[in-house]
Amino acid sequence: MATQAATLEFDYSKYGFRDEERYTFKSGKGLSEEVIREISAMKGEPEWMLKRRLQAYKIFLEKPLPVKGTWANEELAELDFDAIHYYVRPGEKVGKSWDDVPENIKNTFERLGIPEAERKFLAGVGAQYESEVVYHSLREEWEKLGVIFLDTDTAVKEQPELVKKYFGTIVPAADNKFAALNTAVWSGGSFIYVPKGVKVDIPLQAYFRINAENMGQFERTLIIVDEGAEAHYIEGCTAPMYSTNSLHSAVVEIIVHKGGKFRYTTIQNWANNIFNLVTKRAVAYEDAQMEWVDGNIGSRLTMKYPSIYLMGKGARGEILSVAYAGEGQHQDAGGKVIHAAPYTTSRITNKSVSKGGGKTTYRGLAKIASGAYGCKINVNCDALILDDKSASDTIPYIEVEEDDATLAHEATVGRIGEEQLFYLRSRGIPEAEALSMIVLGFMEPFTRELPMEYAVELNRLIQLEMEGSVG
Amino acid sequence: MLANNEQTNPSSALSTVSALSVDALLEQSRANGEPTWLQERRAAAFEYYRGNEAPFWKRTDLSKLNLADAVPASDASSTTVQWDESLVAQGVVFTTLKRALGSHSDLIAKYFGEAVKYDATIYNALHAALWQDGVLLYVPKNVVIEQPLHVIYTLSAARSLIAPHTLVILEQGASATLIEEFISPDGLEQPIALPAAEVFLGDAAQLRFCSLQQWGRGVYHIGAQRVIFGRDASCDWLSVALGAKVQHIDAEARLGSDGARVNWLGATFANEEQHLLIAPWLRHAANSTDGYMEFRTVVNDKGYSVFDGMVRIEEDTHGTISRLEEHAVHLSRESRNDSIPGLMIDSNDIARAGHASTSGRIEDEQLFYMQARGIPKDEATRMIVIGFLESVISAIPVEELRERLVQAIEEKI
Repeated sequence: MATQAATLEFDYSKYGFRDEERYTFKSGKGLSEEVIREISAMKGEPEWMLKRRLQAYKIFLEKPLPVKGTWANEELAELDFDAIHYYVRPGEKVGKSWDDVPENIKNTFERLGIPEAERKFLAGVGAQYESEVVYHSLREEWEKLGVIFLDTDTAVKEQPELVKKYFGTIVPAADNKFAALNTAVWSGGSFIYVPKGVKVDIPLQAYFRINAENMGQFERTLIIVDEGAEAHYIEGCTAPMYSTNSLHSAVVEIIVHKGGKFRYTTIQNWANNIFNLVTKRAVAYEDAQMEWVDGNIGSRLTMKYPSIYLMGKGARGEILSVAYAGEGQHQDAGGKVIHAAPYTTSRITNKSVSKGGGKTTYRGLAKIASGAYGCKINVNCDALILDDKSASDTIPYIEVEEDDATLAHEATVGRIGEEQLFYLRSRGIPEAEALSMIVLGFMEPFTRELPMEYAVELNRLIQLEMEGSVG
Repeated sequence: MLANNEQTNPSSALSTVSALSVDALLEQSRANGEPTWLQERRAAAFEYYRGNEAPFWKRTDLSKLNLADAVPASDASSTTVQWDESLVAQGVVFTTLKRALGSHSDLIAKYFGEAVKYDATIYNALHAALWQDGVLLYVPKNVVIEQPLHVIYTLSAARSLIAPHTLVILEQGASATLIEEFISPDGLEQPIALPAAEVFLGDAAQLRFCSLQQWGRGVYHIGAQRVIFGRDASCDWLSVALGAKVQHIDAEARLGSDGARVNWLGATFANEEQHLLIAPWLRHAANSTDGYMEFRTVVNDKGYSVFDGMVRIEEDTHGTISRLEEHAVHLSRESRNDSIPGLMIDSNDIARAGHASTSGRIEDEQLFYMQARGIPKDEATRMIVIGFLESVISAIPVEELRERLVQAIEEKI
């Protein structure tokens, strides 16, 4: 591990650069029915989708900002809904081959290393720039097996039956203010359908990039894993740093049918001026398996609690999440599992590190509904606080409405021990490096679940964030 | 041990809460010869109650609470104190708060309302405006009392409301044991208790504090408790909740002086349609403080219990040790237990902090093992539940009380 730590050199400007703005359309600041009609018309959407958008807009206006009450976060008050561009169209169409992507955007993703990753180990790639997906590809072998991997806008046109059947069924617009906002102005996102019994054994990837200032990105992802099918999806997010806030408010809906298996991995590395308010929810039916692997390194404020509804006997859920909060950051993350069927099992593992005045919050719900007998839940939360300016909260909600259930929750909070540091330093490792080794070791249960390239990337990011943490 | 049931001078009875006015409250207070400071505080608290909304409590259902038609007590006749009066010779005071007003008005004025603020909720406010029942325990410097002191609060009429106040002041190096009990018959229509306990521990003082809620069915119990610690002070705190229809207790051990220590055990048993919530906080606000909390919960029938606990470690504190645990056992399919063991940590120089929570039912193997040894299933269940609560029960300092609690628990299984 020492050698690994020593050889990793990392250039943060890789993410921090910004492109000149050359858009075919950019909506004015603020939101109105007009803006929504405009977005829908520009996309050439069917009437039913426009109706949904307008309904959701009403709900968005009626719902209060959740700054008071149980799931409250007062920092949300800093968000100015009128200062945001809700729709920014970077180009005319989705590129099918890399050459079709406009030059300037292609450069962006090349700098981020996307084409290289695609060649190496991905089954399919989607890349979203501002509001629209600019590139999409799926390897022929998977296409032949009936796997569908599209941007959600195209899916509305090409797969209307599937979209109509599932869109908004897992996260209805009325779920929360940000789900309503997303439903009203959504654009882009991934649509995946894996047919019965098809096992996609290498990951599908989407990459999300916000470039413009005061931009709102509202992608909408819908994933259906049919009976006995398997897949793994990875998303990455970056943006350049501006002085004013941008908003990322996605909705992700996932359905894993009987016996299906799905893993959703996120490496979120937004710039520190992005409000990242995301609703992610999955349902897993009989004997299905759903996993969220969720890494939060960037953003100003993240509020994200990926959830799993275990709806069928024997379903399994797993949420593995890590959060890293540096100066000016608040990672308010966690996970929810709702056991609604008998003999379902789940595990939530959370690791968080705060440093330089950053704050991490774990919020979670572990619920066993009445009638869901024979369930097992295991929750583990560990937090590391690296200096006395930083803070950590752990707020797990546990609700058990069934006697025949086993639930265990355990949390610890600590700092890096003097002995650990002393041990490493006595072996000639400088303190800064020793600190970063300990933090990487702490995060290891998470990183080992990532494909190798991502694990290396995440380790680099953390090391970079850790720089200057001694002194 | 002597028993003495104190009666204060009867005064003009108050009307229902909704018909009350500041003037009527002041008139009653003056008629009872209360000091000016108290008259003013009652008036201020009542104004707060009138001017503010009830708090939103997601997990406490007060939709059927009828505060408006409740009739507040007009004297301290619901308070019974039991103790060995020879302790008076050592300067110990243990008497109803109303009686103590005559002799210790300044002391009470100094501490009353310092830890449980009337402007936190309308229930605290109503408590501060209406209290008649209550007790003052004062133990002078370095006085060590071995025998437990005992205060009992009772409710005996439908729609009656009491707001008993337990005020405990231990001077430096003093040591005592206080048992606070809430008892009433079953079947009364919605009596209401709005109790508060304020405990102030001087440097190196030691208190064992047992709060035993054994109301009859039908009672609404909305209470607040605070223990404030001096340097190296320590408290063994026991919170037992068996009775009432609805309970909401907001409790806090405020470890605000270096070296303070609390060992807090709790047992909650909700059955039939009881709904019992406790929100205990361990607040670490000084160096080298040590907090341990272990609550054990049993739910049966359609009982619903909530443990909303929190470990709070404040900024610029060092060397904190804190541990919070809750363990729940379900005895029926319809029962429900919510557990929210929170941690809010603003300091990185902590020795240890963590929490754990488990929930489950009695293992079939355990039952089978006992049945195989000829113990009938019901009896085996009883034994296992009593065993589960044993660590809490055994901490109760009076044998007769322990037996009474075991009996009450067995009846609920």
